[in-house]
Amino acid sequence: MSDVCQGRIIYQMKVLALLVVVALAGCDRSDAAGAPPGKDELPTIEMIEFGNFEYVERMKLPEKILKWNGKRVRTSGYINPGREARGFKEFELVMNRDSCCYGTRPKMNHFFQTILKEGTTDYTSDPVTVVGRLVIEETWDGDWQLGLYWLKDAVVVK
Amino acid sequence: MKFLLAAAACAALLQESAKIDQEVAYANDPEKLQFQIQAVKRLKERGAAAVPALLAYVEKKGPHALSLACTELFGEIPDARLAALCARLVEDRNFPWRPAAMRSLAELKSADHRPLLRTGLGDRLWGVRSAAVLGLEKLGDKESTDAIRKALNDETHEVRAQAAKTLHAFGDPSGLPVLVEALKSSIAWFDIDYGQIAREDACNFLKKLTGDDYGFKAWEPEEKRAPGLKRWEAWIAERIPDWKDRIPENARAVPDPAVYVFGFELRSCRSGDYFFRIDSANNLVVGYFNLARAPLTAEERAAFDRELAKVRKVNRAVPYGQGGCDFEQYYLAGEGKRFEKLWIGIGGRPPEIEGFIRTCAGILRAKFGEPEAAEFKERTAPFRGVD
Repeated sequence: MSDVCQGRIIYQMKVLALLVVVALAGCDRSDAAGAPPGKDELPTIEMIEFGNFEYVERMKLPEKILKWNGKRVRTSGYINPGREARGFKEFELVMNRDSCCYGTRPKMNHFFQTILKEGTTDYTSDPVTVVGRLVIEETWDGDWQLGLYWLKDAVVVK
Repeated sequence: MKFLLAAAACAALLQESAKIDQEVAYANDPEKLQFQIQAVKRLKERGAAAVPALLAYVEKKGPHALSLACTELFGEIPDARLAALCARLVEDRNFPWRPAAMRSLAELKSADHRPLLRTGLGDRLWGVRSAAVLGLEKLGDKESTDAIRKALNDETHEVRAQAAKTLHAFGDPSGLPVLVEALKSSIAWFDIDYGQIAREDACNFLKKLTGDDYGFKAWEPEEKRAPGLKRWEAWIAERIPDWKDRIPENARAVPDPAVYVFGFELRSCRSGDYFFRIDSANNLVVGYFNLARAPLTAEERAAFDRELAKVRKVNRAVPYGQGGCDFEQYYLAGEGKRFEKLWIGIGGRPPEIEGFIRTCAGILRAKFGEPEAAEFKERTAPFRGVD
């Protein structure tokens, strides 16, 4: 990833973080979200850090990534809804608008496969914050990879 | 023994063939999106061996079953049969990924399709026009230089920028002023800084020429970009003293101080985008990079507001229609500077706001002529709700 591109994404994520703070202050939460833990209780991770390297299948992941495995975390990004816009229980959380909305597929280390703890959620074009248990695991269906980063038992804070 | 060996070889071939078929199916499966990139990568590695299966898939399922990723893949496997397929897809006005098909054709450097690439310079979709310029560059088609120079005045940055880069590749510096001017782009669509895309693209290319970005960071705020911009302007002035006079009308960066009270954003990775807004001075403003303004009469504004009231009544807490990369989004002024958004995917527009679309088409016709209204109607048609 070029410095320019990286810089742009970091800038976008800063803006995103600001938006998240504003959103949290508003406390407008979806039915599916439930009551997320207080802000101070959970570490916030940046998706950019998880996609900031060239991923190849079955590689040894950087320690700075692996240290989050199994931890409950808070992160922000955009919902990539697939074909359903409403009532989905699972979605890809991607780091920028390009990967969610304009036809470009995210790379394997550029999205968190998010599975809601309960209920469903709807697509929104605004950034969202998600709280969940991060599981880092290459999962396969035969020789086809299903995912790398999983955000399980997740709740969405809109 | 010979028979057994032949049978084993035959079985291996069949197994391999089945694998390729599965890869092609996954590369196009909208329900297994996480497999698409993997499948495309594997097919690319197979190269020409994958071509018969790709062609068979299109013959069996039809071109409309192709995914964007698979259409892009065609450009990465040098093969005359795929070039012919890409040309067919570009010529199919209803094919959803025509810009990607043209990009793939460009990458394939198919001299047989030079006439199609030349025709593509005048296509209605900017993605096709931009890819056509690239394709002519890859073919080294200097006979098209004059036509490409005209593209420096295209209404879309991407086409102008590609034309500038292609001319540079042909040894013609006449497009460089367009790129330096693009560093000033400050066009925003509500919270999206489209100017940044132009600035970043231009800076990345210019940096390759000089090995230096002169401290210009496209994503930084305007005041921080100013010193770097000055250095870029000094750089171009050294080479082309009258560079400012050479910037075509559409390529001139025009600050947009307007305050907007409504926005209609249509993004479609298939059929192209459409944007218009209403500003606080009661102008209808069409476009996002190059803006065309027309004042609304009191009657037009009243008709618009009547229909907008119906849009406002639609529940904005939920999206409508199919998810994906094709959507209409209505920006409705809320409290303070905040805008509330109504999101509508393909086939999802609630019937009660059809009147809004019809009214807008009428106003666009009155202000900008029939072609503009026809474009709006064509782009918005896929979003009409289905019973």
